[in-house]
Amino acid sequence: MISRNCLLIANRVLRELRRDYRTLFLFTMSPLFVMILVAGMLVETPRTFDRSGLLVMGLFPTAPGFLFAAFAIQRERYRGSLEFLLSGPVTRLDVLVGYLLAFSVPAVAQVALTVSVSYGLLGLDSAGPWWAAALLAMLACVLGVVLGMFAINLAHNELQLTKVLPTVALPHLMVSGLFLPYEDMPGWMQAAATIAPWRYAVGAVSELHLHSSVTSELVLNLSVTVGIVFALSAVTVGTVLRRRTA
Amino acid sequence: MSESAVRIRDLVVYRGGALVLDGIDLDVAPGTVTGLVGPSGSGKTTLLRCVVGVQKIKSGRVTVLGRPAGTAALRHEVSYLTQSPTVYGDLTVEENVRHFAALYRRSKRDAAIVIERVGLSPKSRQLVRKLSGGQQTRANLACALVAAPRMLVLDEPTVGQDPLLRRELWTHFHNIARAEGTTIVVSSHVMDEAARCDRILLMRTGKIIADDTPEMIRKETQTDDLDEAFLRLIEAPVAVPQV
Repeated sequence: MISRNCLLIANRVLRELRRDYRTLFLFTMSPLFVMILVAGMLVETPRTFDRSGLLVMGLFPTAPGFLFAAFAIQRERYRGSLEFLLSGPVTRLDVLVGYLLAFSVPAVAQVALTVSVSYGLLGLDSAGPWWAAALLAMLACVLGVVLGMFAINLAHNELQLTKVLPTVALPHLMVSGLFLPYEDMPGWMQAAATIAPWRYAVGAVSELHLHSSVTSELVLNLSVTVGIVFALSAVTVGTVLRRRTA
Repeated sequence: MSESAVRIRDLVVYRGGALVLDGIDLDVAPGTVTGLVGPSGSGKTTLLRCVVGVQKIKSGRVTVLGRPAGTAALRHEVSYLTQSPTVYGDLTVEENVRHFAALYRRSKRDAAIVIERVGLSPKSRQLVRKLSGGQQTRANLACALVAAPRMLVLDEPTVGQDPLLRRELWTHFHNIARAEGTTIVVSSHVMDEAARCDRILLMRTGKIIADDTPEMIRKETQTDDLDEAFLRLIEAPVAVPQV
């Protein structure tokens, strides 16, 4: 799956990211900013911070992953360079894995920064181990990257993308169980929640918050999220990154 | 006579519901430079896309170097320059060309040579987005040339370039066709440039309305001026014998 070409593409995307230091800065720092704000808001109620802070730390990385990957792939497609690549000796999987690898590098820095500051300086406390929370944050970021690439299906250009992102993201947040637990939702909403990619990540956070050991529920939720990443990748390869266009 | 580098039979393409290519038949001999000329919207780019294999087609057959267009095995052999630059703005000229050199397994030296060839050596460490449109096209051309493919498909490579460089590029196209046997298909809307090709295809509303050497087209339309010949062909398409 990791070919020479996808490493070359990852290297090139990273180089582009490095030049675009504003994007890189926002990508690595935004979850930390949000964590600091949450900690500031809940400074009087450490127990609430433990719950909400864990949610933010474990889930928020999806947002920058989603946004930045969506725009990067859209740019690649819109500019025609995707077609240029695919008319050469590059496969669609090379492109997808290349982008995933490229975004994983700043994602590791982002998660390391957020997790160490949250546990170390902001006084976050969770029943589950910190490394599981870091793993979840990393997974959330990768999920965001894949979701972002998949979302390109709904937009033809960058302007449309700015309209699609909020209209898709908000309903998704609402059915993911973040505001209302899955068990309390009405039946039709539960049906929608079942296919909401974020729902299982939210479930994983609750497990981390409540249990000190790695529960089967946690493993299940993480595995389903990984499965969603693979499924979305497959659909993205077949749709967004198709070689022949009309 | 060796086998055709490009063989197109009864090609029909619709884009967005509109008929763009209307039953194209075409053979291109290997190691030649073929010019594709016609007004905008005549289907030049679509025809090139079919050769590269990135265009959905309605019916017909497109064979390139003996294989169906767009086959995986062909992707090392065919290189495609699109009309609008597809180079990466946040990378330097050198980084761009080296990226494609690496994808096609060519060396950094090969990259330096093609950068020289398109006249961008003094700019090779500059970010592409800071270059002019014509320079970006040249950077893009360098990315297509570095592949050193057996077949080169170029969509308006010389728009906005200065006359001296244009002449150099055309000489270069002929050189690689002669020396390396590369088959080159170039689109252009400047007749004057097409006069440098071994053969001209004149397109209009999805059809090839003339297909001959520049000399023969001049002779048949009884004018030395290819622009005038173009007009005569369009105004009286039936009167002109088609090859």
